[in-house]
Amino acid sequence: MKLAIGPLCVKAWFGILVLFATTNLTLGCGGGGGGGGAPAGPRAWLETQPASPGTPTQAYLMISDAAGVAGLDFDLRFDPNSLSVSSANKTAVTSNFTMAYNDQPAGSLAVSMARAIGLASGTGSQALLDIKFVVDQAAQHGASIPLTVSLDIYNVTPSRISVQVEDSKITVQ
Amino acid sequence: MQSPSHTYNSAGYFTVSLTVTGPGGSDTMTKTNYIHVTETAAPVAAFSGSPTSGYGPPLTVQFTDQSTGAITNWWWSFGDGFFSGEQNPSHTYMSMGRFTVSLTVTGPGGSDTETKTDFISVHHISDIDQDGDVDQDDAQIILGVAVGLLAHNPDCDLNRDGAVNAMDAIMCLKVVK
Repeated sequence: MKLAIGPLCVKAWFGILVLFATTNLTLGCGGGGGGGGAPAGPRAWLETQPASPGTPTQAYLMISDAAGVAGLDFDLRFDPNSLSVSSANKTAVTSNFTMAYNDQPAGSLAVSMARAIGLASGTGSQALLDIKFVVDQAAQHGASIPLTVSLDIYNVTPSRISVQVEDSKITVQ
Repeated sequence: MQSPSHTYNSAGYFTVSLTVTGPGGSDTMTKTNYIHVTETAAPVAAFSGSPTSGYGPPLTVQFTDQSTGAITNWWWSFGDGFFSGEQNPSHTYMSMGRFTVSLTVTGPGGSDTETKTDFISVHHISDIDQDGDVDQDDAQIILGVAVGLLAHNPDCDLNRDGAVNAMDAIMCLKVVK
């Protein structure tokens, strides 16, 4: 059984949330009044910036709620003729993680990171990964370079945390 | 003495003679090269063990004496503070690490010792590089395999789910913690 409630109800319903924590009820406060139930797990997406041909650009792997995250496996696919990866780096949030990345073959980026304890709750969305790209010189102005994202995140158990992953794009300006 | 005992302290052939004397005179009997003393083979210590490396503790190792020569005593040192006087002992290691094993054999021809340094390695399942410690290096190897930088290594699949990924690194790092 799922129960959806509005976005301003957090404080008012906190006590009920605690009360129901030991039951099978799930309370969702996001998404606004659709009545279809709360999405399972946090949302994750790549936050990108438009870039000109031949110039560097940056993208952040964002997550709406990083609480409990102790590791992740990230896979990105894109057109190697339009984009190349310069580097992948940890962010302030993931600075204590152990990380490895592989940007080969061209058109792909695999990143895995882990640590022994889960992240604490943050305020709002947080960046887990900082990726630097270079847009190919031949990329056409106005074009969109699709970024296909695959992401698994884990708690410290370790077991998977359900996450809603969105693909992204880089706009060539 | 009528029936003496004698110890020969060197190798070789020895001629023995007996002279008896009585009221009626004396007589001697000689047996040439009657006693043959062969050189006692000096012991040479050698041994093997199986397995010499494995996950643990505990890790039980079967040691096999491969010494040669005349041997009457065996003395094993397993490197973890335990010893044995058996010829082919089995020993269970109850701690992680690398252990130096030695066998001393003793016989009539003397004694000999063989020592094998770091012969036994007992490592934690998360000690991927088998250096005796579970540390960041092991997690780094797991993540390297996960992203395809390093060749697949089934030892990195710590949770035995068929895939090497960040979950295995989390398991490893929890040991480091």
